[in-house]
Amino acid sequence: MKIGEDDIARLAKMTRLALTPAERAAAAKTLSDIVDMMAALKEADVADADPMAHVGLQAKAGLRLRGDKAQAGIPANELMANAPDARAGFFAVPKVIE
Amino acid sequence: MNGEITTAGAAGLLQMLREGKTTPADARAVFAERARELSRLNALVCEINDADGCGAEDGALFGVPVVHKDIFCQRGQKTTCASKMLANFVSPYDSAVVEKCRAAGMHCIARANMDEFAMGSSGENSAFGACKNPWDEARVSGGSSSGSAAAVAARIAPLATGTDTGGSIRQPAAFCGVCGIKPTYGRVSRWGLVAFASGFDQAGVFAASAEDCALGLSAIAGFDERDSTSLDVPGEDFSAGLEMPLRGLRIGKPKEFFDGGLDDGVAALLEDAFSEMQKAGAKIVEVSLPSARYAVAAYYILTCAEASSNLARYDGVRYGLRAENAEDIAALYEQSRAEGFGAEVKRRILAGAFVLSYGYRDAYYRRAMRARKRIAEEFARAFRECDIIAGPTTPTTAFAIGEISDPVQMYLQDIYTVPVSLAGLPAMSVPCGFAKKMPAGMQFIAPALEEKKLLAAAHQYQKQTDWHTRVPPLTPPIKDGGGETNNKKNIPPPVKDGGGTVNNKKNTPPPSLMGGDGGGKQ
Repeated sequence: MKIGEDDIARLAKMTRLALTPAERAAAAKTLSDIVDMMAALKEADVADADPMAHVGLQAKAGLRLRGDKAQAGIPANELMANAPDARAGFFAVPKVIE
Repeated sequence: MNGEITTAGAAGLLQMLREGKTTPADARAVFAERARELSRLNALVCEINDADGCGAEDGALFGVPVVHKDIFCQRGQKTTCASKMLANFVSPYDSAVVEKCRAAGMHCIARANMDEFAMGSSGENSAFGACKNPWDEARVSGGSSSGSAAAVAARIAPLATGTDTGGSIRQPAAFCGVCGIKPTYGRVSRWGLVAFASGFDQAGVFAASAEDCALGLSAIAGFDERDSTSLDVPGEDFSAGLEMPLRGLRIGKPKEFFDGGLDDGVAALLEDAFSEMQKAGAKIVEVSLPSARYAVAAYYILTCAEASSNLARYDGVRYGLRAENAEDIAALYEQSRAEGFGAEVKRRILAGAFVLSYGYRDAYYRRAMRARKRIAEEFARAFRECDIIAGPTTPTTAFAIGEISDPVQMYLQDIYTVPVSLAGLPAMSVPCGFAKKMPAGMQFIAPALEEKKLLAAAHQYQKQTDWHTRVPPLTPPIKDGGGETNNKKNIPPPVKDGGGTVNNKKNTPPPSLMGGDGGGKQ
């Protein structure tokens, strides 16, 4: 299946990736190859197999919810120490509302 | 004595510690020195820590050094996933695996190189540059847990942690001539493990021997309520049961794993391994996994889909790289992600978005889930005829750095490991000889939660063979009579270094993440 640069531009927009024209062209080529490889599945006789979204062992072992009790977490200031721009306990971003 | 310490393995080192032949501090210093001497392998990505104390003194593995893959959050340490995106991320907490290793008394000497966000089969997709194979430094170490496998092979550490989504423990273990076990999905907590494809990611260990893998796995396995997919089953001592004999064990040989595609040299080694096990009383049974041929397609559809969703968290806002001078919030997201991610990561995000997008979801994603079911059913059927399955881990031995640039060719390297991942089964790679002077791996696969069978089969095989004791002929050699003298016939000539991220001076700082777009296929 041929994936064109327009398709790549659409996917890049959905996934929030800025791509240069050269990257778009390269991605169109490699993604076409990858999707061709994936298309091998078309010949697989799997219509009667239920879709398996998960390994599913949890259900057999017994799903268990954590107790509803407060636990010590990581202090907010430690979590925010990795923020590229944090001010007064908030994440700062470019202006969103004009 | 130094050589004895580095080649003793975890069990051997524990015995030396018990007998007073060495101390945790001395052992730490010996491995740290070895790590510094071999920094040119690019197996490690942070400064070597020989100053800090060990973990809990009452731990079963007190004094045993370990190397953690750079994907496990470790409090106060950079946790980068070999990505520019996380170049400056310092984890505020310990992952469950790091916690458990500390509790077991292990000392983390360094963190290991890897393919960026665990996406790769060669170790080349690292912002730190490719990790080199200790058996031939011009070749790849495999991936994505490249540095973990190389560190254990080079005897920089007796144990290393890794993660395996589609073969990322087993394949580098095979390429580097060490053991690597991927337990049942859910056996080891994923808490604090940076996510690639959450429905497949599973932590495990590398070691020279099955006996040491059992020690490492016993330390890290167990239920954890912080991981909703953690299996609520009792913890186990995986070392108990290693002596279960091969006699009477039914070993399944999947015929599809030996049809074409498999390198002749590797195939011959596997035949020898089957003969050895047969001699020891195992019964070889042919089994069939007819849908395994669809596994690579199904695996890449499902994991790219999960990755495209998981990696949406890297937005340049809360943590991770932020592009400078972005005009608005949309540009901030798009440019931060463009600058932070390497080529392979971007490729998988795009592929994942494609298979989930309108008009293609049924043809790709849903169909892949059906194929996954079929593959899991075929494994279940095979296990009615045998106790464990054995076959190749990889189609070939390690290829040269830079040899495979086509992504699809790279994905096909995972042909024997991804079927297991789709079914969530435990599997392990065990060294089974050398083809053209490079190590090859045999993969054992067991039913869910039957890691003990894998470890017992591997241990019994290792009692018959000595492949796992072979040490790569590195310069400098292991001092004072290590195991490097017993494999002269397999020693490849020393390879001239081809450049790259060479970092072989004592105390040189670790490679920088920000110095370019990294090596390999980026």
